[in-house]
Formats: sequence, structure tokens, C-alpha cells
Amino acid sequence: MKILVFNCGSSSLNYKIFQTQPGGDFQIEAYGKAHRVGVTGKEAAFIEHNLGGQSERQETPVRDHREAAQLVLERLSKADIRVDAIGHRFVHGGTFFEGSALVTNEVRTRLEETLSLAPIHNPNSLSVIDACRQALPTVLQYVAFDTAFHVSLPPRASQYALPRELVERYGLRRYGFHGLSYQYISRVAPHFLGLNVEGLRMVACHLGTGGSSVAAIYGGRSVDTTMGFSPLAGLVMGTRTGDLDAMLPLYLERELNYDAKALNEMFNKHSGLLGLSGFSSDLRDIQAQAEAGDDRARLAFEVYTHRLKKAIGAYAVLLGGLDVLVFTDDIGVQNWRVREAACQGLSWCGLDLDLGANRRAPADRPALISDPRSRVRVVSMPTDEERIIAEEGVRLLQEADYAAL
Amino acid sequence: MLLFEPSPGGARWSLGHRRMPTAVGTLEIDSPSMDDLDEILDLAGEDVIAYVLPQGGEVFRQPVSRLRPKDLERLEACVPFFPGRNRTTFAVARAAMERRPHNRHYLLCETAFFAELPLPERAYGLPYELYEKGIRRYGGDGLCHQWVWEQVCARFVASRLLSVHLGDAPSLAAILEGRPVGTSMGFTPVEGIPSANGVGDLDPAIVLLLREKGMSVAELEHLFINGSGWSAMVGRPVGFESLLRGQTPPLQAAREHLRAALLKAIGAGVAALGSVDTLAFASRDVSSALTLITELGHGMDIAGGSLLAVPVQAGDFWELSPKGSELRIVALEYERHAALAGWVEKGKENSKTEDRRG
Repeated sequence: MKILVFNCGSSSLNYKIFQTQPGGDFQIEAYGKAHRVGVTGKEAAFIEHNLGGQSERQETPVRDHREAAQLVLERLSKADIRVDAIGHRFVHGGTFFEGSALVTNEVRTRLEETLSLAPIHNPNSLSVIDACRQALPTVLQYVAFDTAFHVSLPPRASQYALPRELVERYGLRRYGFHGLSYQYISRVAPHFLGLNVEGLRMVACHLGTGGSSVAAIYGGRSVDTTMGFSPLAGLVMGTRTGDLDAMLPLYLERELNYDAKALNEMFNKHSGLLGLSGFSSDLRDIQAQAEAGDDRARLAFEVYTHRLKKAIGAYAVLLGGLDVLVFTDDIGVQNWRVREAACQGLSWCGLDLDLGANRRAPADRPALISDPRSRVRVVSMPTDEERIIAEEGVRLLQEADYAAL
Repeated sequence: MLLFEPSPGGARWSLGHRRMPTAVGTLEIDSPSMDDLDEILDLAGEDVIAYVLPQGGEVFRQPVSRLRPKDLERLEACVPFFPGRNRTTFAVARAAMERRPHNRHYLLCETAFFAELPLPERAYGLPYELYEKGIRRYGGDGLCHQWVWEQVCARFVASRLLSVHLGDAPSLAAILEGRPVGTSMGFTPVEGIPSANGVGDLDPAIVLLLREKGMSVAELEHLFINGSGWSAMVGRPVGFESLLRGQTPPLQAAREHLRAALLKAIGAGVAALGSVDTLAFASRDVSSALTLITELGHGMDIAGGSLLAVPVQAGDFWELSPKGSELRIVALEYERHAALAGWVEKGKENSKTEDRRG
């Protein structure tokens, strides 16, 4: 079985083709990425393809995600690659979707209802689904949700202290995000460490260049997470604020004359590392400037790591102890300084980093970076959301086959 | 001392000197004339009159300060930071100072203790220009947490202390050598652990969504300060003590919600401190809160905490951990009027020193 997986970023579109292997494993047959989708600026958009061991760069304007998907499908068709199913990452499943789903007309309508819940991500994913349905109407499509892993959140974590009537009217609850990544990490990290998942107390930090979050995972199930109703809450991120006092947006409207639209724009696109540093949302630029003596760059780095450290501490106590701490995604695996700063001063919960191992940890494979005497095992580990989406596809297709029998 | 403190129904007042106040009540401030104020002021005679300011912004950086008519303008400047409650303090102080110009008036500020929070704890992930305009975390409940620090240090040596105030508006402070390095409250006391009526931590996207759905700024301010918290979750007014006692499923769920929020705040506080040697709980009635305190204390096994099977009580001080524990866990009876009277006494001393200096 061959599965094409699309993973939409805010200005990118990743794809991978998985070929199932005997024993349930996968082989990646092709992969690629459309860069700078819908971005205007000096650098042009392009698509990189890796097909049958050959790399190529397709220089082409890419107006939006729908067009990016069309271009990818055309290229795959030209290479005579046929797929059995197409899986799509969908950031927000709202209250309706608690797990992956085959895209039917009814499901598509339900997906449309979730667009406003993740306005940066969900519309792009739906446009890719539409492009695929148009180009390959007979190929099965399905969606896998970032929120699904957090369906297990207990009420103490999912509920906001708001009146029930409002909660029900607008679906106001903590949904949590990066669930596909956490699903992968919660399975692979214990395997890497040779630990039993049952009863395991894990804190996982998904630190991406765009969004970042932390999850408390007990026995492989999410019990709390920093992102909330939307991906805006929690840690300070590249351009997003993270947590704010609920009274603050109101003060900004009343006293500084912002309107709700301007606040939305500022909280999502001009805050976080970018807002604090004043020049970049990229942690590498910020670290370089901080080392050169830029006070605001240093502040941005310190706020980022301080919030991260507090989230780890909060979940270590919530879980009643900590067995495993995982850092993943781009910043998580590539930035040893972030890991070092976040772990500094956490020896009270049994965590001691091996500073050398942390600095040497490769970005492309798992590495144990805690001191051998540390009670908590600390791991740097790349995530693989697309693989989880492919696995979900196999499961859904098998279920569909059984249902047809 | 006559003390005024803003509350959901207006301004709560209490009169007395020592542990328990001799008279208490609530002044409704809806009517501009504040009809009952004169009667309350008559009870005070020539005593000191004190006012609690929940959010002093960058304006009031001392926990206690003498309030003179010229200070009213500065007090009014704090109103926008936390309009509902700060306005009450301002309105009552102004009215009382007009009526009793010969009494001594003191202002007690809840955010002053946190004036020098470390920068990474103070800053939000917002554009720095807003930080420069005063958009930052000010903390809250500082009068209680500073009192806890002093009470603990009067009994034994503490260096890294986590102070947890359990009551209708729970809060936490991480204190290193007497200086706070962490707080659960933020720009206003609304942020952090949900309270009896306050929403606590909330995704900012929800605020924007509710604005988009047509709720006004004033409606949302009211909702987050007075219309949320455990009471909203349960569907009827619920104070801290009834939350602890409640046996119905909604009350149990709200209690579990609070317990989890407190555990997370404690973990975040220890992370801000780097390590902890003392965990101190302050509550009006420690014996009622003992089950919750014990649950939270057990959560600190991870940081070397252990608990006695039976706590040792000596007056208003409870020892919960065995002698020699790596982490000392204690609880203190917090009688607010008496603690704030202590602050006013300090204010009087400061005033005398200032007067002597000329």
C-alpha cells in the first residue's frame, strides 16, 4: 500500500510517500517540500522533490497551498507514482473530531466548520484536500488531527473556569496541539530507552520554529499541555505571545486603542521572540545577537527558556515525578543551548544533564543527553508526524476493509 | 485601624487592632454619596484608616505608604490597570479622606513586593515597546506573601521559599532570600490559579473570540473578575471553604481542578527558584484546608518533601514535615485583618522616620 501524506505549515507544504512493508514498517519512496508558499518578498518560492533517490528543485511561483498541492500531484503523476490513499494533517479538530477520519462529503462539511478555530492552518489543509479530491477523485483521503492525542485530557486540564453556558455555546476548552508529534514521541522515546510505557511519567517539549508546546504524558496518554483552545496559548513562540493575563487584551483595547483585529494580528504575528527581540523570530539569530551583547536579544532568549523551564517544572510536580524528558522538533533537536538553559536548575526533580552529550547530540537521530546518575532520562529526538499520519491511514483503510466485508 | 478592601460587592471593611476585627461589613459603592460611609467612619473615631490597592502598577512600589490628598492623583492613575477593584479603592479613599481629613490614611499595595521581579519573569511575549508602556507581570497578593516570608524567618532559617496562599483567591510566590523571583499572578490578580469568581489562566484567543462574538470590554472584565472561577464551574456561588467541604460531583470536579492548578503553580515556582527549602501554606483556617495541604505536600515528594502522619500545631503555626527533612513544609494561620494591621504599624514607623528627617 502506498500512502501520500501532506503536512501543511503556515508557509510551506511537506509531502512524503510511504510504502508499507511486511511487518507493518514503512519505506519512504519520495518526499519534498514547497517553500515560501504564498509569501511575497525577495526570495522566490520553489518546490524541492526527492523522487527515487534523485533530488530536484522546481522554481515556480506558488500562490497558495492549493496550488502547491496541484504542482506536487502533477510532478508525481509525471514520475508515474500512483498512491492508494492521501493523508492530511489537520491542526484543529474542534469538538467533533476525536480521531482520524476518512474524508467524505459530510466530513468535509465538518472540517469547514473548524476553519475559524485555527485560521492560520486549517484553511490551508482544507484547500489541499480540495485540490487532491479534484485531481484524484477516486483515491481515498483521510485527515489526522493534532488535537486528537489530547482527547484524553482529564477535565481538570481541559476545562477553563468559565460559565458552563459560554463553554457549551463556543466549545471553549483546552484542545492542545502538536498531538501527532506527541503520539510519535510517546511511543518511540520509551522504546529508545528500553522502558515500559505503562505508568511512565514523561514531559515532552515540541519546540518548533513556528509553534512550541509542552505536554505531560502519563502511561502514553496526554494529561496536560500548554497550548489551549488555540495554538496561541502556552510557551512564548517565534511570533506568538503564549500565555497572557485575560485582562490584558481588554486593557490594550481600552487604554491603548487597539481593536480586536489588531490584537489578533499582534498576538499571532508580531509577538513572541520577534516582538521581544525586535528583529527576528529565529532563535539562532537571537542567540547570535545576544552573544554580541544585544540586551533585547538576551531578554528574548531568557523569556523563552524561562517559560519552558517553568512548564517542565509544573508538569514534573503534576505527574508526581518525572521519568523521561524529551526535546523534539527543529529547536528541540538542533539547539543545545535551549536544552541546557531549560534544564538548568531542575536538579530538584532528579534531572541532571550531561552537558557534553547535550552539546554533541545529533539532530537527525535520538540521543540520550542526561548524566548517567540522573534519575530523569533526558532525550533529544526528532519527531515524525508524517509517519503517524501514514500509520493512521493504514489503520483507517484496514477498518474500512473490515467494514466492507 | 479601619481597613477597606475592594470586593465583588463593593468595599469590605473591618475594624479592630489585634487578631480578630471587632466589626466587619461591606460598603456598597454604587451610590455616589456612599450613604453608609459616614456611619462606618464614625466607628473608627480617630483611628488610622487603611485601603488595600490590588494593582499599584509602576506607581506604588512600597507595600505601605502614608496617603495624603496630593497622592490621590497617583492613586487614580492606577485605576485603569485593574478598573473594577482599583476604582473601588480610589473612590473609597477619596471619599473617606474628604470626610476625615484629620485621620491618618495609609495605602497598602498588593503588587509592591513584586516590583523588582527578575526580567524574564516580568516580561510577556509581547512587543518590547509594550513592556516599556508598563505591560508586564506585576504579581499580586504581595502583602500576604511578604508576611509569610517574615513569619517563617522569625521561626527558622529559610532561603528558598515557596509561599502558597489558600483562600478565595489562591496565589503563589517564589521567594529567594526575601526577594520574589516568581508569581502566579500577572498583569492583574486575575491571571494564574482560578479563584472563587476569577477566571485564572485563559487562552488569549478566547478573549478575542468573545469580543468577536459581541461581548463588550466592560462585560468581559466583569466576567473574568466576578463571573468565572469555581462558582461559574459549579453554577452557584462557592467560597474556598465550601469548595473544600463539598461532596457533590461538580464541587469535587472544581476542587480537583484547583488542586491540579496549585500543583502546576508549585512546580513552576520551584523551577523559577532553582530549588526549594521551605514550602509554606497560609490559610485563614489551616485545619479546614489540611486535606488539600497534605495532598499538595505529597506532590512535593519529588523535591525531597515528606509529611508527618499527624502535623504538629503550635498556636497558629503548623509543622507538617519531620525534623531534618530536605524540604520543610509548614502552614500558617493567616488572619488578614491582623496581618494588614501589622503592615500599617510598619507604615506608622516609616512615617515617624520620615517626619524626623523633616
